[in-house]
Amino acid sequence: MAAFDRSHGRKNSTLTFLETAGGVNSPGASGRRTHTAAGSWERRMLNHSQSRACGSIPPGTLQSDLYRPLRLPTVLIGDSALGGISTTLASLESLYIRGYDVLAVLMLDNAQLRNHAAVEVCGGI
Amino acid sequence: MPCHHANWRGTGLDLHANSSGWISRMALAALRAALAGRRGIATAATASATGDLRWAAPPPALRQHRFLRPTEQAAFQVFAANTGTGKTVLAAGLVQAGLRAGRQVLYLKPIQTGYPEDSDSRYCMHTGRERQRHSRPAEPTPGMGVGGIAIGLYRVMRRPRRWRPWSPTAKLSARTLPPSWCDSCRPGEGGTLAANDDAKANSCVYGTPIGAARRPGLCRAATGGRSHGCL
Repeated sequence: MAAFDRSHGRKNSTLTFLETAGGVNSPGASGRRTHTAAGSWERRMLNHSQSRACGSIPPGTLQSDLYRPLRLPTVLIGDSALGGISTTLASLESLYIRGYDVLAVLMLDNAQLRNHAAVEVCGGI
Repeated sequence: MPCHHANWRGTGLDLHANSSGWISRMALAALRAALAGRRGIATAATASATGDLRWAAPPPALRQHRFLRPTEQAAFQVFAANTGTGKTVLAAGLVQAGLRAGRQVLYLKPIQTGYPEDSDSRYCMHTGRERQRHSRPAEPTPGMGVGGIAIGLYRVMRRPRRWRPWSPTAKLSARTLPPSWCDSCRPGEGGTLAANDDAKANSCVYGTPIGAARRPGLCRAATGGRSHGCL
């Protein structure tokens, strides 16, 4: 909490955590809807987004692009499984190249693989 | 859109305040270089990304600037390298840490796969409730309430009164809640949400402040009765 306070510059403020879905470059909400129970408003918005691509999310937007306007400082959860070093570093660079402020990389502790040590060394972070 | 990041990244010209109110690290490095009398692009900040959070805050001389003051609400987003890496578990841990420190915590998951069978906001919310049943958090300080809110997809994407271009920032920062919402909204009984979730989530916040379950009105009182309720 002290680290979050330092980042925010103010103590005891309300905390908000926005959790994304999937990985860094997973696709965001696509234009195609699977719910058939979409109301008339949603159908109108869908038509709107398909007819003229203004203001709404174009289909195929990556989540890393989708959340970029929020300009939130970011916590990256690394992959502690086999092959996780590569995916962690790749997603870290994806975030960097889009200009995110990555405050911390958190990983689950895997005592055998020790991915966190490798990420710490190889990532230059 | 995909390549506009590449232009300003590294130029030291990104002087926007981010949502937590601070300018970004590169802008800070550029400012420091300018103050030190150096010309050109500052060398990249070598702050470590793991654990070193100091670079996100501007120097004290800049903190009085209108656009650089911290916002009321600290916001962070959680990305993960892959699915199944423990993002929700760690996010729930962060929520718990906030609650134990006596904070109000807002947890948002705007995009959720497998909804409504699978809901991470429900997971975080009920993890919080379980934990609170076992260990009582510290007594809330005056002006601060102990409360956690979990909001699902439908609350964030609620139907606007008037059509505006899709702007997540406006949705998150300008959203106000009716003052009575923490009294009127109740989570589903017995730890699971009822089958009519969809209808409920359209009209109602997905869950209730964790600390307010036993004492209705706690949150409103704790925030001084301001009209924005628990936020």
